Amino acid sequence: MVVEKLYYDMPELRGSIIEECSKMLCPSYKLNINGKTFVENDSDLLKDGDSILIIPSMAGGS
Amino acid sequence: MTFGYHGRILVINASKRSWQWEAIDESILRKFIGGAGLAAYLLYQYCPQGAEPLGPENPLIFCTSPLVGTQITTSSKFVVCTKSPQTGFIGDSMSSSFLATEIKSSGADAVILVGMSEEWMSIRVSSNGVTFDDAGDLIGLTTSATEKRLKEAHGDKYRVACIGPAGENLVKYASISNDGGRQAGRTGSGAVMGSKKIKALCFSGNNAVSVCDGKALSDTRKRLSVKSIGHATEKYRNLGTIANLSVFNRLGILPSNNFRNSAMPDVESLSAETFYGQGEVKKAHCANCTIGCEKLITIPGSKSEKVRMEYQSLYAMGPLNGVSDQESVLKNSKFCDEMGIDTISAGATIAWYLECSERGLLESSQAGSDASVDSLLDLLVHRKGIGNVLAEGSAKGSDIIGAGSEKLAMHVKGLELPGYEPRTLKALALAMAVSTRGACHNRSSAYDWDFSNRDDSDADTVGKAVIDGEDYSAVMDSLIWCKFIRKVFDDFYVESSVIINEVTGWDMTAEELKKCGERINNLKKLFNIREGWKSDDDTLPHRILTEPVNEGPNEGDRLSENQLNVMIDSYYRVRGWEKDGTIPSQKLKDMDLYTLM
Repeated sequence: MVVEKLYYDMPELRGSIIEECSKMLCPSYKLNINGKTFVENDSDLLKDGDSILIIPSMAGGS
Repeated sequence: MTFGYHGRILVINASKRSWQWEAIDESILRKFIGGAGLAAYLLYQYCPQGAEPLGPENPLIFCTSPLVGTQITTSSKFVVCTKSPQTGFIGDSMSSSFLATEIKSSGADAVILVGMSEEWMSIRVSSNGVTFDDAGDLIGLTTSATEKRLKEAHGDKYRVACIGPAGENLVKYASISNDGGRQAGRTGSGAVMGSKKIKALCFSGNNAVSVCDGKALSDTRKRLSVKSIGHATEKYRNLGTIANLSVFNRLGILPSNNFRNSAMPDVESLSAETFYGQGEVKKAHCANCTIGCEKLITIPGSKSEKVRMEYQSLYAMGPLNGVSDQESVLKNSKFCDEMGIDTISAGATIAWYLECSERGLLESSQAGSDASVDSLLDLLVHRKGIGNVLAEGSAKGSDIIGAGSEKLAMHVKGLELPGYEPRTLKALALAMAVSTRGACHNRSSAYDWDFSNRDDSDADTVGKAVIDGEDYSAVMDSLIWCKFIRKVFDDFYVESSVIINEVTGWDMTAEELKKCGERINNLKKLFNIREGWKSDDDTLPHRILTEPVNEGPNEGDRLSENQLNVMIDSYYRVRGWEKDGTIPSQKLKDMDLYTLM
């Protein structure tokens, strides 16, 4: 639900980070909960008061 | 004729100033593809057992791939492979851009340098053959000055691979530079080139590559180019890998102060957002690349001097040494590129030295009055004073300094750790421990798996994930794709096998291609076993196995030696190897490697 809410509250995330049709994170992004746990999208693990971080799954250089 | 290849390699003897073409059989090309795979095969064949890494027998191999010259996006890449002076095992490093195309256009699938010249020289390779030029006047020049000088002398058509002063002085982690500062950075190939007294290699040619199905390949090329500028690569196209820094800091996986901390409080000055906010970032592309991940940042205080910044350089010159000053980090990164040294190993070796100094482990003759990163970089490049120790890297350096300093040296097999916290990222920890080239993040991309919430997975599952990542990476590094295109593929093996078939005319299946990845990793291990690898070499630094993460969201995370060994045991088992990590004969037969022994 959180990602869908972000879709409506933060239109700048639409398309490039949150998919237009599914209203879920694009496949190359992850949701991190409290700096600890990574999930693909909304999760039962989310509780009131949690902080979330949307991050690209990015590598380093050669 | 084999489509996509020339079917021959060029062997240059620096001692005799002679060269010859040698044919390479199509069956070998199909087994090892090109790039890192073919280079590993050639290293196994051309490097005599027990060869001294900086001796004349050690071959220095530049290898292209069947995709080089096809103009498929991100495929203008080559690998440099040798027996590493840092590890004593296989060392390979990727670089990119026009040089890859010119190596291939010269008519060779790979170029192998053997021997050792008595005088400094540069070598020109073209479709007409090989020319040896005196390079005495190039000695002491930076990498950019060397490239400029050689282009002025021989024309812009030549593309240059060269070493800087660090390679000349045999700094063990010296790099090879090409195309305006791109680096084959890791494992010390620049020192091997320096040991042969070869300052530069210049390539130019007109031997176009023939492909089997040009029409199909043209369609594929267009399709992939369109896909490559979708959201899967947006992060690389926009902020680039430097965006990792602030994200990793928030996640508590940014190694700082020689891995004593996993975050740094005042690091925002080094964030991608800060650099972009200052308006000092210019984007750039490698040849035949639609992604354009490169970020050239103007150095503060300079008029227009730019440095090509990646996350690993930012980490190594910054947080790893407790430095957050933007100008210092950018200047030191630029210095490394110009002198031709690997930023990760340079930064990690200095971080180790500074902690040794802080803890009073140094004798008075080893302690310097100016212990700043920039002054230490200058000393190590020129092997002056304590720089002569630092030029050896943290592993050999700790052998020299002793006094328990080896417990502070952050390396695996002699190769220093990249910017990820292994006590939190467990799959990456395993991958770095077992990697054939030492502490490496790029030969498995295991962090991808760690970023997927699988903390409670059993050791076999982690082992399998690392193996899958290693085999996948081996195929990427052999075809050669840029790692940054990997998420563009819906089914990597299927799509890649279609492309290689369009190029070569083969009927390779996705399964056969996947098996190539497994074969290549077994061959790399086989080389290391031949060169004296023991299971004790597969481990992580003392600090990682004894100290927990001490702050941040991952406070308390630890990785004991026992936990690591359980994962390593699983990794060996899932690989089909013996309990001691050696490869059983049947496995070698299954991999078509038995006849190499």
